[in-house]
Amino acid sequence: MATGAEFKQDMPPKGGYRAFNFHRTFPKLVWSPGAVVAAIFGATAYGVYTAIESKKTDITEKFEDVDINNALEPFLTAERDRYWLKLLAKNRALEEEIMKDVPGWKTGTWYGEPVYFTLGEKWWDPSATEVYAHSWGSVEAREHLWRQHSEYAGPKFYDNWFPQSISKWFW
Amino acid sequence: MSLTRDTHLPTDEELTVPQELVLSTPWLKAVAPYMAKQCEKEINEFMLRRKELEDPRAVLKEGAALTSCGVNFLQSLKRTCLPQTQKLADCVDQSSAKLYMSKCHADQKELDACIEANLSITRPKLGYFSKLHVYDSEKPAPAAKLRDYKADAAKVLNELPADYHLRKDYRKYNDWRYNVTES
Repeated sequence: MATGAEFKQDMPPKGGYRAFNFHRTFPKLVWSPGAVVAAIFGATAYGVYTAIESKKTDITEKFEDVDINNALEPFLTAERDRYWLKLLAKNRALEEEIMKDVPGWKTGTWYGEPVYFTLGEKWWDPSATEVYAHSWGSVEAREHLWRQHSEYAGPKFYDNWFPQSISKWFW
Repeated sequence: MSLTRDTHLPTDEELTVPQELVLSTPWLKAVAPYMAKQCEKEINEFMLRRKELEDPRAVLKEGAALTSCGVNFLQSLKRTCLPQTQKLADCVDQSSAKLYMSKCHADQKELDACIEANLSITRPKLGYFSKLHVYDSEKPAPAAKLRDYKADAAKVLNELPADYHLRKDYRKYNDWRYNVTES
């Protein structure tokens, strides 16, 4: 049993306890609500302005390129016409050469039945399938469906790492 | 191929010009506005006639004249402003992946000044080549031709051999509709 000499009563610290804050406490106000709202609206307005301006710049940049392409188009068209007609003449000559032993075959028709009945003297470009009839399928895929290539078709840094027979299949 | 023996195709001599434009894309982009401005008359003639006649065979002369005009311009440019052109073409080649002109306006101004001083060609304002241009050709526009298609078709069909296996399993155009709302 504990005796009275061993018992010691805990007492308040000297000077008493500090005063207890029984009031409601708020966090310190760093930005006033008005400032926050103004900052948000300001940032949004600045972002919208920048986005509109950069879009205008992008459109102008693209249009500059389009304008140059327009200036170039007649020259490319003139060259393309000559190349195209040469290619068609070559194709027709090939067809005549290939089909010369087939009785009843008329070039440009199906045994005399024409593809176009009512064309007359009007020019009509043959379709790509007809033009590539004497080429390998891979040639048509490469030249007609050229979009499957990456935009950059020039020499690559790894060109010397592989023999030509393999690297020609890389895009 | 649908081209028959009767279809007129020009000979190789008609289709060959002494010199084609063999520049690469950055060089073409660098010189295009000046070249197009210099050859404006040929361009208008070629593009108008090509559009009117709807036939590449009929405008070979105009096309050859256009190409030779471009070649002449490039030759005079080579004699006068080659360094500036080279600089602009290199800039176009190397400053953006899409070969845009926007990074090269400083070099373009140098070339502008050189070409204006030596060849007296002013580069048109942005958008000039995208506008519609009114052009009166000396050659008259072709008259609209209405043909009797049924007579043409009947003539071709009569030329076919009597035992020709014409298909009989066709349907009238309107019968291809599956319901009345299709056109």
